[in-house]
Amino acid sequence: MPDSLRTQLSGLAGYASSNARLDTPVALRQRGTRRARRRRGGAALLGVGVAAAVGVSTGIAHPSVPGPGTARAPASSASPAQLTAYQTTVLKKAHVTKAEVAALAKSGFTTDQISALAATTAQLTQQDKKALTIARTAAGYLARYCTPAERTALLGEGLKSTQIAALAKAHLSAAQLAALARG
Amino acid sequence: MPKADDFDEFYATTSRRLVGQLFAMTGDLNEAEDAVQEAYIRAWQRWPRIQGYHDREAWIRTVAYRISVNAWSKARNRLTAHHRASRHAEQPEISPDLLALVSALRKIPEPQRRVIVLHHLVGLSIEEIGAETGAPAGTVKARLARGRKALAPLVSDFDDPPSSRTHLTGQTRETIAHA
Repeated sequence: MPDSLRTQLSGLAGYASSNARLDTPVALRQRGTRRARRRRGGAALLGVGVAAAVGVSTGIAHPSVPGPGTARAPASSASPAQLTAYQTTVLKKAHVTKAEVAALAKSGFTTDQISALAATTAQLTQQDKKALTIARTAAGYLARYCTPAERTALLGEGLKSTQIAALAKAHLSAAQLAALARG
Repeated sequence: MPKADDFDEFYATTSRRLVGQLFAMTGDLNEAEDAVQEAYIRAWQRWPRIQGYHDREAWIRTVAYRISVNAWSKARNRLTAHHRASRHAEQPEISPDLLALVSALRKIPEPQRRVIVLHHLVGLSIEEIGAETGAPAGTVKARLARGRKALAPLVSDFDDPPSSRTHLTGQTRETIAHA
């Protein structure tokens, strides 16, 4: 091993080490913890939001759908109940109908399952790039949350992968769907 | 709840060294800082598992390297680095020798640069580099040889007067080329 190269590299590393501006370990830990909490919170919100959405927007009561508490959310113009332009576009583009959402509610699907299904169908078809993106995001959910029977039931309703992807992608909150249900 | 003290101690003892290694691999100090810090954040999220690893430093180094070469992360890191750089005071001047070395390292392909740093700076054996990079020993040797060969003429491109080239004499270049 050439000592000169080692020496020079050591000099380079030494420069970096002594001039590095690093955060404290406490700050990094806090960032890590916050990030993990956000992810967990996001996943939970997505699950509750879509499940409630499915139940409320279709008027179908299902034991697995958390409805009443979330359905009473006020629907003022400034409230978070209004759909964002993005969400509207996503759902519109995918032509998701009430009947189709009702099918999801009947089957008692959660958002995680919808995401998982989006993942599977996208991976199976390999046609829709957007759905594939959702698929990658939702990877790992399927094995945990979706049984083959549920998958078959959902696919039997004729939902396209893009529609499932749109439902997963829209990230509708319970309040938004409650507002939708009230018309 | 993972043990914060262990993490803090590990961070305190290894972070600066790893920034140095990453800097040699990437040629960008801000990028190296961000990649290393991001790797520590990820380590903290998996700390109960990583704590038990035989070589935790290698884990951080590998993750930080992947972060730094990942195209998306690279773009994001550059933005972050740019913001950070604009917030902080100017960095101390880098010597012409080191600047020339950074420039030379940046001119050789990333995989070659990585094995050169791992071998000559970190002091890993061919087998250890193979284990860390996931490349067979033959590939590591080839990258090492090619990297050194590519580096030899590049480090000769010095504009500063010969008196300041204490490390990079003709003899040194020859040593690098034939090592």
